[in-house]
Amino acid sequence: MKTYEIIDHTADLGIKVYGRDLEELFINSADAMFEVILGKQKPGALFEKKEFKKFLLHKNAQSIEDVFIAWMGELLYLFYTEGLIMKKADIQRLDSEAILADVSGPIFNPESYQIKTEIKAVTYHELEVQKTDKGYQAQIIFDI
Amino acid sequence: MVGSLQVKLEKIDNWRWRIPRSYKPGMRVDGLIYSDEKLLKDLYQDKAAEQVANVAFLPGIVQYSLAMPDIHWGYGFPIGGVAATDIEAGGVVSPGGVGFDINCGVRLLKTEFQQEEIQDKIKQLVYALFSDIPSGLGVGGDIKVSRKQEEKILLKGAAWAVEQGYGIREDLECTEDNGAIAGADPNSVSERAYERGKTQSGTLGSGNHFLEIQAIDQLYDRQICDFLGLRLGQVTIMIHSGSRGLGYQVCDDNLKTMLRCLSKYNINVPDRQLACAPVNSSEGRQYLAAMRCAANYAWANRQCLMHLTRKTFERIFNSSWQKMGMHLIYDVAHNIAKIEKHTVEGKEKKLCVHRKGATRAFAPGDPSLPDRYKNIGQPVIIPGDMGRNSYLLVGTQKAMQETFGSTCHGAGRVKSRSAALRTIDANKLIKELEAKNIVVKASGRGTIVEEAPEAYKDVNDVVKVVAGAGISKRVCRMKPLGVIKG
Repeated sequence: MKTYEIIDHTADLGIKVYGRDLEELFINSADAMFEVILGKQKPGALFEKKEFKKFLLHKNAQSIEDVFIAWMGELLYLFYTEGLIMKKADIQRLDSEAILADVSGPIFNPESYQIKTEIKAVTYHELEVQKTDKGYQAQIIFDI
Repeated sequence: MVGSLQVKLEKIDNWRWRIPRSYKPGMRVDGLIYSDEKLLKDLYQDKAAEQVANVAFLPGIVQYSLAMPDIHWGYGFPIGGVAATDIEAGGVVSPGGVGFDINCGVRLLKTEFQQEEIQDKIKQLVYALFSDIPSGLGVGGDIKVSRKQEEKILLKGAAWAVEQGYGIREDLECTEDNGAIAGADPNSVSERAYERGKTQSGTLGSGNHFLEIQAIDQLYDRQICDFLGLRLGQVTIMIHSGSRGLGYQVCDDNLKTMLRCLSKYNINVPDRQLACAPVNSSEGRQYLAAMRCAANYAWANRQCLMHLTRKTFERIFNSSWQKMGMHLIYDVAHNIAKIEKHTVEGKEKKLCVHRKGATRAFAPGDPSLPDRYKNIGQPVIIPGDMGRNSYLLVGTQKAMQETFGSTCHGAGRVKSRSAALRTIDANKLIKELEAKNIVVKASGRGTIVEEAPEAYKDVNDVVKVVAGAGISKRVCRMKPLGVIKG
């Protein structure tokens, strides 16, 4: 099953992501975002092996879309400030009010690799998180 | 993607097209798009026109929801959109009407060189500039600042850079708002925004940000060219950059707050990215105070980038930048919200003017212009794509009457980045640019393809519309010689 596809947007870049359940949808969306930023590179050779762990908690959201934006925004922020490339996520709570997760992954090493596409932000424009016959899907437009 | 605009645009004249407010219940004013038959074809390819209609929902919006001829599909606002709200009448400010890259903008500086004098050095210059000017992607800039210094940047903007020796007072005079907009409050900027901004001062950024060496290839208004000291074949330099991570985070933080304002202030907008709050509300004031900080950061950044450019030229030509005549013509913001006074239906009103991918274009005599430009009007800098042209324009009285003193900001995309990557051959493109004597250096081939000329409208067509409609006047046109992409 394909996890995501690029959708055309004139100025920016959009993706449609699929998952069997919400958890998988959130993780696949994060993977897709990092693939947009870094391209299809094998991290081993390009990034320092140093692992980084971070505990995430967002609450008081009003919809699953809010939680989704908070999740993606937080990962983007961790990437730009700490260099964390999320590879693993242990999601303990996920509903339309909150997400609670342990995330970890290698740290980006700017000396050995360049960013392919700088994502400025995850936008609310045409944002959709939907239940489908096969699970869940999300549509996201990034500002790049 | 197929456009979703159901309404046929009403032609007013050769340059103006109306979306009547009857198109969608909730529109408070008509939409008005500056375009012509040729550019209009692109408009039906995406959802930009629909976004013009959506912006017309904003509380307090006056006159029209405007779009410039370089309009293309954005998120929330179209890129190329202008909207002004009446502050006294509960008018709103919307972070989406400014965008994530707050005060993304352009500056143009001249040199005393003629194209033939430096033609054989273009490659050397491009490579030297590429190595001297950090793109800032994953790598911080060379200009490192402490937290205290960063707060000063947010308050003082380009003047901070000049105080550090990165330029002279004259540079500030030739920058919109003297390189610092009043009312910035560093306390309104979140820790997260500081964190994202702290390593990026003096970095170019990526995507469509660039630095370009150009030569003037056409003069339109000889009088103004003489006044500015511009002649045919003269070398100019253009710098396009914004507020980097700090600005993106300021927008992100405030969007979240403003989403909650929609129910608090009972505001109905058709797209969450149009989230907004009254200018006269705590949330509105908080956003504007933080937005101004990001705007000032961007002006400081472009000042630093110009300083690095002057230094590189000094090294290559073993001369001083003053001797090489590297003076700033002007610096404009094209993603910003400003409190300005304009005449609406015969009455002077205090408005919050959003320019999202649009440039301020004030007429001759406007009190906010520096003395040196009072007679000619505000210089407006319009970058094109890397294979075609760029323009220098000036603002007009007509712009004051019709567009709150605004005009276009660039070529405007027609092809998505992914479509460009699918359909354009990098090798062929580089050969084509070489055949035109254009040297391009980018961190990746992908960037070159994504920013290929055919992904953009022809800037000549865009400028033809703003000149035809009378909202700007052409001064001169430049062609690219060397381009550095982030």
